[in-house]
Amino acid sequence: MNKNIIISLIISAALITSMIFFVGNKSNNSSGLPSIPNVSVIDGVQYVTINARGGYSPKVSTIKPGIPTKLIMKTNNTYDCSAALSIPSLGIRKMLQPVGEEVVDLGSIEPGKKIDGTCSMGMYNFKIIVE
Amino acid sequence: MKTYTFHISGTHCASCKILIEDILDSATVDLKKETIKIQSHDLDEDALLEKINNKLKTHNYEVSKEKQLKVNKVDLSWQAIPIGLVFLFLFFILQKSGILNFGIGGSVTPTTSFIIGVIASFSSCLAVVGGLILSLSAKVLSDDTNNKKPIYLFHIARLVSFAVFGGVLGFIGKSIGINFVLSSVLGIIAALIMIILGLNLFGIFKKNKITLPHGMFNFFRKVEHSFWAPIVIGAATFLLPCGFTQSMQVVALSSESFIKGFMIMLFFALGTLPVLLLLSFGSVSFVHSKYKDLFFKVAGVVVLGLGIFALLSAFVGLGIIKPFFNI
Repeated sequence: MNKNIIISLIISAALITSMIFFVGNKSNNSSGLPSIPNVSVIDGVQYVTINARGGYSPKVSTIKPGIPTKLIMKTNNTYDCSAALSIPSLGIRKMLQPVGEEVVDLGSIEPGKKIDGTCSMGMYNFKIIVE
Repeated sequence: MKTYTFHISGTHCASCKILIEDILDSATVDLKKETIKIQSHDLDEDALLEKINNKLKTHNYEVSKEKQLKVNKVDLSWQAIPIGLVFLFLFFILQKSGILNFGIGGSVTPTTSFIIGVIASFSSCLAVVGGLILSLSAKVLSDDTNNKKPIYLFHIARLVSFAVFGGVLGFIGKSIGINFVLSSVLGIIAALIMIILGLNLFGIFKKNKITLPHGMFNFFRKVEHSFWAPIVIGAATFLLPCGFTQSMQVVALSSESFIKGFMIMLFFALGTLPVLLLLSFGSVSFVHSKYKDLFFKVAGVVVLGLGIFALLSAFVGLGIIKPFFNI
């Protein structure tokens, strides 16, 4: 084999590996748990607040099972993909207004379930874990 | 009337056969043997040869009596793959950097929608729209390096469709929503086009020179060179999955006025224009430089990468696969 081909293959393999590591979900788990609690129960209804702009935060929320649950999506001049909310497992697809709050009814969720939220293009995501 | 057979070089694409046969009357090209049969009644062999070469010169074909020995070209693929990957890597770094996330306060005016357009043109939306533009420009240019008309038509159609659809959304108001599933499906189609064209530009198909039946050839060439194809594709970019476009559609909807919706989407599209024009006409200038062959291959790698990204994104958006990107 030609020397150039070997060099090319090594560089390419290195680039592909670092790209997968870079865009992969695992590389960003450190910012997983919210520093400020974003789940509260008021009058028997559980509210989960998630900020949407340039991605979703917090990335992981933990909620209690069996209570009516509502998701509050907060936007603040959000024009990027995170305004195009999609929760495929619940059939929810919604465009959020650029500024404001949108309440999405999740119903009462069974224990152990995981809800994956994403934006319409799939590059931003968040997770709601039921205890 | 006499029939001559010459050797032809530069027939790099399947549709070259049709192009050459269009330019020269009564010629038959055999791509596999790289020969051309042509009839003439008045000219002798040398005069005919000169006449053909004059006609084909602008399209980079050359006809000769003797078979031209292939210059042992260095296979550019090994350079193109890492270069293409570097571009893809830079693109993902830009996405992850957070530079594109700065907020714009206040209500959306044509000025702010222009700025949002500029930001959008660097965002991951570029993977879909930019990838499509790069692949289509390069494809059109690889058949005919001087054919810029489809590129103009595409950009004009894009601007017009954004403005008109924006106006319509503003006029109709909040009563309708933009269908996510439709946009994801179009995203998948766009991604598949990019993947096929990416492989094509890189030259995967070239080695085996698949020769399609004449009728099919004609059909593809007609689509590729038709007046309407770039217009339809340009207009359809309004519906392609792009968070920014979708947000601006919501703004246009809630403006509840034709003029406001029209202006917001027009200025948004104008904001995206510089980067997209750079992609199109960057392709044109590369095609006329000595890096032409390398450019096609690098473009192929980039388009293929973006196509795969767009395909996976659309699947995630539809909920077919779990989210695994984290940009």
